Amino acid sequence: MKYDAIRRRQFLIGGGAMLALPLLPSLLPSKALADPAESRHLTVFRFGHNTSGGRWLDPALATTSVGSVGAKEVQLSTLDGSIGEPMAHETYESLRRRGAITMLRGLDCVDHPSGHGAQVLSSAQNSLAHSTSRMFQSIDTVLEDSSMVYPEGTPAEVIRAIRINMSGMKRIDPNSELIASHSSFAKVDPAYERPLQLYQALFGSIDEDPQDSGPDPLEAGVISRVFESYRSARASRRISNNDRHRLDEHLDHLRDVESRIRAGRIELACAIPDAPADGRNLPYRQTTEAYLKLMAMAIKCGLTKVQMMGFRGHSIGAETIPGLPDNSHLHNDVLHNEHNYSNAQVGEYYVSWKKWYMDMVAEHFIAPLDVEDSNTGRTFLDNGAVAVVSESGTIPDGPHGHENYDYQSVLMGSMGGYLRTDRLVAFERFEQNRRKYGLPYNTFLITLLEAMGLRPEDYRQGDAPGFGLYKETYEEFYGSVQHSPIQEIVA
Amino acid sequence: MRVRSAQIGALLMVCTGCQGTIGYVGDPEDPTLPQTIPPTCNESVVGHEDLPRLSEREYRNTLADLLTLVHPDLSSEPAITSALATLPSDVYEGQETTILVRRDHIQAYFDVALATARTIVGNVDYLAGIPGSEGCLSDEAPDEECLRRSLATFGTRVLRRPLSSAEIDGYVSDYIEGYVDEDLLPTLETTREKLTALFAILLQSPDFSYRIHDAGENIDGDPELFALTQYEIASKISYLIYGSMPDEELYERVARGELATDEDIREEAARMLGQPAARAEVVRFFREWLGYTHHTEPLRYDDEFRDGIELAGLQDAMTREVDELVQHLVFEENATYADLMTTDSAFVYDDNLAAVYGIENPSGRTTLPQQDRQGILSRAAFLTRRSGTEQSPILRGIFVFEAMLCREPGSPPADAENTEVEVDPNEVLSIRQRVVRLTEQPTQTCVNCHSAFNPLGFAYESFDSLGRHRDIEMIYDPEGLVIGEAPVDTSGEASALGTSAMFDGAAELHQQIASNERAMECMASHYFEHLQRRNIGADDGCHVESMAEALHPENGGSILSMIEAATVAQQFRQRRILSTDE
Repeated sequence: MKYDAIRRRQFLIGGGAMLALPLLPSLLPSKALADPAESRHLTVFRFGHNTSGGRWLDPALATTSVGSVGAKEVQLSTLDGSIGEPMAHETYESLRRRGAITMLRGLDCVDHPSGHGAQVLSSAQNSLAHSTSRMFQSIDTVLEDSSMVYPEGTPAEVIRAIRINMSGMKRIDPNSELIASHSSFAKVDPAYERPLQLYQALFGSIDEDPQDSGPDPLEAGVISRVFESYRSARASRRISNNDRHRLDEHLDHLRDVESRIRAGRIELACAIPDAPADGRNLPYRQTTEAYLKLMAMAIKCGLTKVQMMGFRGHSIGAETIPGLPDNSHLHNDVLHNEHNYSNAQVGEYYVSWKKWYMDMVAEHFIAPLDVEDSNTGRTFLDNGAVAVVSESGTIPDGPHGHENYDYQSVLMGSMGGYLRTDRLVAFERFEQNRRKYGLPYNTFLITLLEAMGLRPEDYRQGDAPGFGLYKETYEEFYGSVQHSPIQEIVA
Repeated sequence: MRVRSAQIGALLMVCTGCQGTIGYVGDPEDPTLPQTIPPTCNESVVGHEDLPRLSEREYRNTLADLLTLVHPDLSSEPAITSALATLPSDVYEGQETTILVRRDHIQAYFDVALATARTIVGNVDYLAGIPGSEGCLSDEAPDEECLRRSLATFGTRVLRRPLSSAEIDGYVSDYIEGYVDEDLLPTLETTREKLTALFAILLQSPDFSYRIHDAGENIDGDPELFALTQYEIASKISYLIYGSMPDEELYERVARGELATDEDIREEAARMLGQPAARAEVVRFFREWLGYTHHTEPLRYDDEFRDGIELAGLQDAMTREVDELVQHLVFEENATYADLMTTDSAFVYDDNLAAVYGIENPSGRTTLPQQDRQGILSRAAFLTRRSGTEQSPILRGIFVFEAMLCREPGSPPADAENTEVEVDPNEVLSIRQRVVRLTEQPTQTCVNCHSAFNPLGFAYESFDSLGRHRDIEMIYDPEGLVIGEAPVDTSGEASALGTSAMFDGAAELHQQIASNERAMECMASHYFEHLQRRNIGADDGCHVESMAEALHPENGGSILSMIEAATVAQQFRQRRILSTDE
């Protein structure tokens, strides 16, 4: 249990670089996170099921060739009207006119023939329960574990990934307090089942007077010896090279824990907001709004850089979202159309459902972030990016099965200038054997990962190029392009 | 309409997933194909073993068992259960993914260890209960001898091996010095703080969080191959059979040096298999192997189809039935593989499940009406799980093909989509006829593999998608209107079994699987993967073969004897590490 303090210290600061570990709370994180280079953030709003292509901007409007894989584009700010019925809102319109939006059409998920179970790639959430034969880390997991996103010294109060899953369970059980729920489709940990829990996680441990607090000697003493025991095991035990790699990962994570312990308390760069209402049976709208407001505050206060929020279509009807059929189970009744609605009616329901959420996202998440961050000179939104994606791909209209092609995606914000915005980019979809092929969705996830500062070696698994699961068919069309960010939307 | 459209969708999906030239995995005539059953046994070869992290379940079990040694109430203390709530779940518990390490694992280990240590130190009764301490740790200032004595006993339970004297010296030295900090933070002064630190450090030791087996002697001078010590064997058996740390009886046996011979190990494994904790682990293996709990969607049927059967809670009842059946067969009946495939016993408590099976007044154990129901695979949990919304002979067939026979359909041929066959949705065709029309035309590449697994699924055509017996299948048009009916056809040829045996119905198919050597090898292979937490490899032949032999009826085999054989195998008691990256 002895250790060499000098060697340990060098290990902690990494690579011998003389980065002073923040020993005093006043040196910390609000400044670190306010650095323009460190201010990128990513929020993904993900809808269960398909996206109805006919209700969004027509990809045929993109007529100018761009890039090397047959894509075409059009400048969004030059077009009239909204980018799609679900996002017909003045806040999004304002962003479009200012050139802050990017739309992508023609991205395919290559993981699963039916698109059902493609969540591993499409959701940006760990949702592996449906993919029983294969797995891959989702991007939120990669980002939260990345030292590029959360460098050494990130304070303990920073939540590395906030995951909320709005399942609409309240209609199933009116007495349930499970509103944002852990479901079989999405791994949500920790599960902030009520807005107050998220509030407490974000602000509950913030010290009003950080000058009075510092590292806990007990915690520091424990973690340093645990760290040493793993370093010793890695060096002296008879284990394989692969095992050593695993212990290296373990050591990296221990180093994170230790850094946070030694960093002491965060000095918050914003005023702590009022706590949301708590209790059972809060209206679903009120609950959704509360989450969105807290998520916006989490970014503005520098308390996270990665957020995922899922909206599922199960168990939601007119009593929750106006415009839906009464008492419906949206997933079964509408999206799988077990009531034999007309295609036009299904489309209307689809728009009602998504627009209800996207209106609230506009008002309670996008608008609060669309203000200038004095540290960067950009808006908080433009420091990072907000993605709107779907579980499955696009079909023109009608009942929505589980398609795995054309994962229409919308991005707002430029990731501090990383993204080439103001574009609708539609990828020419190659056709072979009566099957059309778009650009693998993997490229979209890679774009987000690299926009957040990661390099290929930070996200690829083993020696395999790219990110996620690939299919040989796409190799023929796209080759190494599918292992890289989407060049057509990178500045 | 729902019946027809969903069924066609499922068909096409699977059609595109077939391989042009299907080869049976492990077929010695085509060694270039992927192997899921090692073809040969070479005694001089031992497969490698990764360093497994305790899975979430193992971690919880281990902590609970360890804390129960201290005090029966300790593991249910709110501070500990609250900290445990942050422990991430494992995505695939039985497979190699449990050796992945994530940041939130490490944070949770830290939080749980600290909460546990603080809880122990905060209660005199808990402190007094630390094994080996004889109450001395609750003294105001425990002396060095007290610390050493406690570490020697309690430390052995935490690390699952004895501590060396140097290790004990290190722990004691840090304690006495108050955990001097490199950043010159104040040293810990109070006994309470120092004991908290000591326990929290122990509970995050690599030997606690991982199962490190590396203390044995090298074998035949091979630096990558070494024998497990008796403590390591004890730990390995215990995690296999209990999913947790060894119990006190096992530790005592190891302390006496009585876990050295084949007979020692077989005897101990048999004892442990008689303990309650073993039941949950065997059920877990069956759940992993047969996947009958993986309900990703709720059951959905319209009122007319349900015919009075309520769906709420039905999936749970189905799962419980198989769980109890497995425990009964394995532990009460010492069942053979054939028993598993031919049993007509069932455990039915739920009225709606009873209605599915056509029995009345359910009260637990019962004998199912014949109706082709013999064998575990004819239970509702399997028939609904493999059906999607409607029954699918393709999905049911693939399940038998993969899970029971360890064969793989493979990847889609490049031209699969060129060979799709148009079928008039208004034509009066049974599901079986439609499947054959869509996937088994001679001009299609799909026929190469579908003809191998489709027949296995046809055996279950006498069960609808809810698992009810039927003799007649109703046929619907795209609007959902009945346009005809057809008697179900459950006959087929089980070429996937490696023979050309004909069957008619699930019971006959199960009879053939029950005596099929490949099927028994397949079960042994699955148990091997459960044991080693990795996919089977070419070097694992001997270990699997020894288990398959123990399962074989010629050797009087049973499922329990297969498990015992797994622990006695030479390969179980050795570990090979790979010095190069995989």
